[in-house]
Amino acid sequence: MPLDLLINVFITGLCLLGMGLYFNHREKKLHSVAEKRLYSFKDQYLHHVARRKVKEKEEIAKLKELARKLEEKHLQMIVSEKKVTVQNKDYLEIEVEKVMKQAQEKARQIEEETKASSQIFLEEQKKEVQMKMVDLVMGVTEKVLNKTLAYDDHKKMIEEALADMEGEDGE
Amino acid sequence: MENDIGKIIDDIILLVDKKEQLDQIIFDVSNIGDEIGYKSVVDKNGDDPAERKELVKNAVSKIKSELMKDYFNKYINESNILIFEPNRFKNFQDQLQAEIKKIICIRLTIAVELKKEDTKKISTKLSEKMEQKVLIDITVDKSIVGGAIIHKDNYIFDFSVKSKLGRLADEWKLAIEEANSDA
Repeated sequence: MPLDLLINVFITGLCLLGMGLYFNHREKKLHSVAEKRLYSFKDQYLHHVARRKVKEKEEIAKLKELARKLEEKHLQMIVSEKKVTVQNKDYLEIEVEKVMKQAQEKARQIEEETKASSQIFLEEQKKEVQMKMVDLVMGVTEKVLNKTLAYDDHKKMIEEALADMEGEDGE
Repeated sequence: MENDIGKIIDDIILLVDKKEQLDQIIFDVSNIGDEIGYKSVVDKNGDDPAERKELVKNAVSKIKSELMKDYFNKYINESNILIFEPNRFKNFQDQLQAEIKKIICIRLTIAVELKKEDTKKISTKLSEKMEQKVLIDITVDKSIVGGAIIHKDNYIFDFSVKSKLGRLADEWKLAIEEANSDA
């Protein structure tokens, strides 16, 4: 029994050892495969990264070139614009000055004409008011005299009129 | 008789104070003259004093001037009717017309109605000054305010307050215009 047991244990141990060796070997193999794959992926990745960096560099170079060109163009445009602006500015200044002068002259003329016409209008109105005032004063005087003159005043005035008539008649 | 005629004329002229009265008197005297003329003496038994008086009374009654009618009626009743004899009346008529021609008629346009005594006073005063009978004919026009517009012969003397005010207004307006043109 102990022998069987021992045999069994021995066999079992042997089997276990064999299995251990097998699994160890398998593990080592898998590990090496995995490592190989890892290196392969690593290479691929590095290669990819390198290609991308190169591409990026190329892209950056292209972009830089484009930017430089754009800047150049922009500079050119600014320079040309400046030239146009300077020319336009002179022309516009002259035109603005001209228009301003015309407007000022026109405004001055209108102001003078308005002043003159308003002066005439004022004078006429003043004259009319004065004339109307004279008529008004005379009208009021007539009414007041009509009311205030007594019979004796009338008589005196009539006598004076007759005396004046004699004087004029005598002349 | 001449004195009688003169007195009658003076009396009549003294009674008159309006131009219309004077015109009416001339017209009436002329009518009486026609009624009691030489023709009436022949036609209506002019030798009979009573009939003659009746004729004269009838002629006087026809006249329109109350003033003359009253005066002649009074004269006929108080005195004789010798003045109404054709030749004497003709004489009276001529003298009256001559006297009336001498009367100065002044037409006054005034603003108030003058009292009769004042009108007479003015008339007398003027008559004295002009040494001729002056007859004042008054027209009332309130619009002249005061003073008088005097019509004498062919002249008009405007001494009314209205025209004085008008002249004053014209002068004032002229002064305003001058002042404005100077300015």
